[in-house]
Amino acid sequence: MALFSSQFDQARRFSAAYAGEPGETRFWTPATVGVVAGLGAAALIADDPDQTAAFGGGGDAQDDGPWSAHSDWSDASIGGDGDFMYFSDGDVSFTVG
Amino acid sequence: MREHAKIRAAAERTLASGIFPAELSDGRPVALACTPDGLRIRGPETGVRIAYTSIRSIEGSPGRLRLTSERSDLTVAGPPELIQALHVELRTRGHLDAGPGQIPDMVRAAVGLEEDYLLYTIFGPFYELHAALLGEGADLGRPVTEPDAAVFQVGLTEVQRHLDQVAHVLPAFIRQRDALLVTGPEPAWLKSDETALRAALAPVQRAAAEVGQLAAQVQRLIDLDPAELPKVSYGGAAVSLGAAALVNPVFAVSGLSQAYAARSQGDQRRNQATAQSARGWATVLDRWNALVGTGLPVLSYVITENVFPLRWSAARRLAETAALPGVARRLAALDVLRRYPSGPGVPFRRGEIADHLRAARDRLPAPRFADF
Repeated sequence: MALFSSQFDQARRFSAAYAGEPGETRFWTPATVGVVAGLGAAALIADDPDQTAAFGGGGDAQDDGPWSAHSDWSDASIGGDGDFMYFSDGDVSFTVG
Repeated sequence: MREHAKIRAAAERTLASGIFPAELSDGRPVALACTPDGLRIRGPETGVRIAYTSIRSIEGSPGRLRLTSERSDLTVAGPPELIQALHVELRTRGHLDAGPGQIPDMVRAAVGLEEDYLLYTIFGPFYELHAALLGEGADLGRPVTEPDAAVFQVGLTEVQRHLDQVAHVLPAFIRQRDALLVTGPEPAWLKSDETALRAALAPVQRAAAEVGQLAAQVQRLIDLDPAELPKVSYGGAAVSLGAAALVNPVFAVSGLSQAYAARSQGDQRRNQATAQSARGWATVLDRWNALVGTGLPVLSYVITENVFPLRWSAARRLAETAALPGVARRLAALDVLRRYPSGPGVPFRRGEIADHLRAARDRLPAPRFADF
């Protein structure tokens, strides 16, 4: 039993499940975490990269066809078609390609 | 130019949502944008979409982000704050596939990361100054043995300013962040939590008093021996850090970064002081080493224990009303912040400072008390 035991340790298992330890470089999404009822459920799933991938779908793709998206946090929107890409933040816009 | 309000606002907007201009590792310029279906990377002869669920790993360092997915391995380079913002955005987007039942756990996960956040937000500047005093290849556990009047004077002033901010602004800042997570009008419990948080952070004043005394003592020693007057070149420091500050004016050059520049500019004025000032500096160093070695780790423990019950109950209440995008972004920001240093010239990632505080706290003995 440590002399200075932190109450934050109760929350740490949730942090470990969703964000990992500070040096963690693996990337996983909450859908692969499941419910963190017990300990280390996320760690178990995320330990096996193949399983993480199984949830993936999609994968890398050559980017073609028109697309656009609007930011959830600002007026910004972006979009493009083929090699062309545009960006607008409500005031200013510019294009790439 | 970087003082201009509109340029600052534009830079803030860029960091908030993209598009992120950057380079691939081979120097090709690309624009990166996060869209709901994946990260899009576009440049001359480059057009890739990487679905968030296909990302295997993300490895960030200041100025560089390595991203591996099922089929590709990319390294993106850019200004450190832009790389950090891209990292936050990627993590946020990754979190968006959570089910509604996971939001309470994600809010709790954020509280777990808030310990690190509080530790480096409150005590980080002390250890950044400590690292500046130790010089190259610093090990935070070592005591400072050589006084550097310039770094001490600039650094202590900056730490004093920082502690004022912690006492007066941090509780309101945390309340405002929580209010942004809540949908609808600000609930009354947030305001009462702010008052409780201010009381919980009050012990920081003990460190502030100690820093004030140290600063006064350093000033007396400098007056005693004017040859030691710090010749900190603010202009030179701003120029040497200027690239980052220019590319992204949001990040002003902080006083502590100037302390680093003062050190690295190589004016290692050795103490050719009189016996009196030598004794004075020995006392300053003893007090400083005791402060960072034992004083702050214990104080950090008091602070985290005071704050935890408030944050835990806030998490329970936030989980009832918070929407996924806000929670995802908070979790991502807290996660990514700890993986990067707080500014150019700072040799430690924020998380390393929090880890050091925890490790120092756990090593503290209690020899004054008889065992029972």
